[in-house]
Amino acid sequence: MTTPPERYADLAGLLSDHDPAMLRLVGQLDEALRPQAAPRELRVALERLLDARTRAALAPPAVAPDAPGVLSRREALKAGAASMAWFLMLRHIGPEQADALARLAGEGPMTGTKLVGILQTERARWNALLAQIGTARMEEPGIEGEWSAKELIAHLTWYERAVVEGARQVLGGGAYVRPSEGPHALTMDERNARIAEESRALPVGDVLAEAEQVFGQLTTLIVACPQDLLNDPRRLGLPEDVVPWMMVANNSYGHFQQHEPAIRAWLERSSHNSKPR
Amino acid sequence: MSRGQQNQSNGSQRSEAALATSDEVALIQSAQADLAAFGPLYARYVDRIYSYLLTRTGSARPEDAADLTQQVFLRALDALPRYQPRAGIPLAAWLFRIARNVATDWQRSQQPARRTVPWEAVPEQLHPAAPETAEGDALRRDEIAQVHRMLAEVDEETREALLLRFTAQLTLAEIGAVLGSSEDAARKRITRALHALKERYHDDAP
Repeated sequence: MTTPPERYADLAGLLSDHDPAMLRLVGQLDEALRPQAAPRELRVALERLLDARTRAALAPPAVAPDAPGVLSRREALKAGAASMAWFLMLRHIGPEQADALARLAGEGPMTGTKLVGILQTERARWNALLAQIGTARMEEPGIEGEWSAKELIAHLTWYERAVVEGARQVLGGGAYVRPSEGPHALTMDERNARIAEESRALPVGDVLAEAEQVFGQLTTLIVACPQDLLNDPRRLGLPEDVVPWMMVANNSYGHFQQHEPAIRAWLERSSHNSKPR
Repeated sequence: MSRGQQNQSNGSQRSEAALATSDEVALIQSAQADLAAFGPLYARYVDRIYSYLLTRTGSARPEDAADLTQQVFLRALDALPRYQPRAGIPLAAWLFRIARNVATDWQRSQQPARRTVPWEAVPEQLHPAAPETAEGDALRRDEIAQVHRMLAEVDEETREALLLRFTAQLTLAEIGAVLGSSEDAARKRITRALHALKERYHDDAP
């Protein structure tokens, strides 16, 4: 390097032609330390994160606004076994699902970026499936038992929100306090019936907006979560087979997948019924 | 570089910096009104933040740097409403101050064995070979490895200043703002570091 790049002009006093060794050194530092392009996956994740944040900012807050953004390890550890109650009220994960999820993680521990990438990919698939129903038909009953698509979406959102609220309480340093009333206090069947009933009065647009808002909060939380808390059950006082990130995935897209066959069957029936005889 | 060229060059850099600052103030104000407008700002800094964190943490896993980069932008988004563009801290310095804190928190959270930055592992990971001749490539790799060996030997403060200058590509005034010192103090620190490295570089040169 004989002429330093323009960006080193403020070091001009050092970079004189009379000191070729210094010129050469700055050239080497420039080469060895200059920034490289961030991975494409990171750019995509950041764009989605920004998108989710923007949508969440526009929607009314569904969870405590003073919940911490970035979770400290110490605060998480303080929560200890209190978190178990929160995890155990969520959908349980079977050995086959655990194997499938472990394959997703690939080699090495699960990271926030990787998990958010998986959730967003699966979310896009799910949204594509919902698009086949169309908002105009989302209140038609019979997709899952008597439930309409709207009730099913509200049902899935409730469990994702439970993850968000539980995680924020536990990882924010407080013990999880299971609400003594509302759907939390009921058996699973009673709870699911209550969630569906409460969603019936809501417009489809509100249910869809809330689903997106909660999903945005979930991904924001995952990104902010220390990696060891995603991977190590002992950090949260959980049994060894209850891997935190798997429980999160299972109550997000794993839950979508559970209901996906019913939607596909309904779409199939709808297309047969609408064919001219 | 003659003194006249230096003056001209410094003047040109100052006017470019003023333009960038004015442009950034408008972008920041837009983003404070509507988060969606944060896109151009993050696009402007993401490579430098990522590379700084990759090098600063010395993690063998680029995913760690990617996670930390997301944390930086999350914290920035949270703090954006309170950021005052005209309060004397340029956006670049504000972002790298957050990045520095995130990197420090991460390093504290690691096992003691990983607190020391393994500089020797960095060059290949950071700079994959460019498609040139094998001989030229090998020579450049050797030279880069030599720089990293030298950096491994300087104190943390000096290394941090060099990273902020060459990886984050901050101006001296911005480095001062990140480190909580003046532009003049940042210039002295960089000058001292470069002179110290030059002596080593000269001694190590084949």
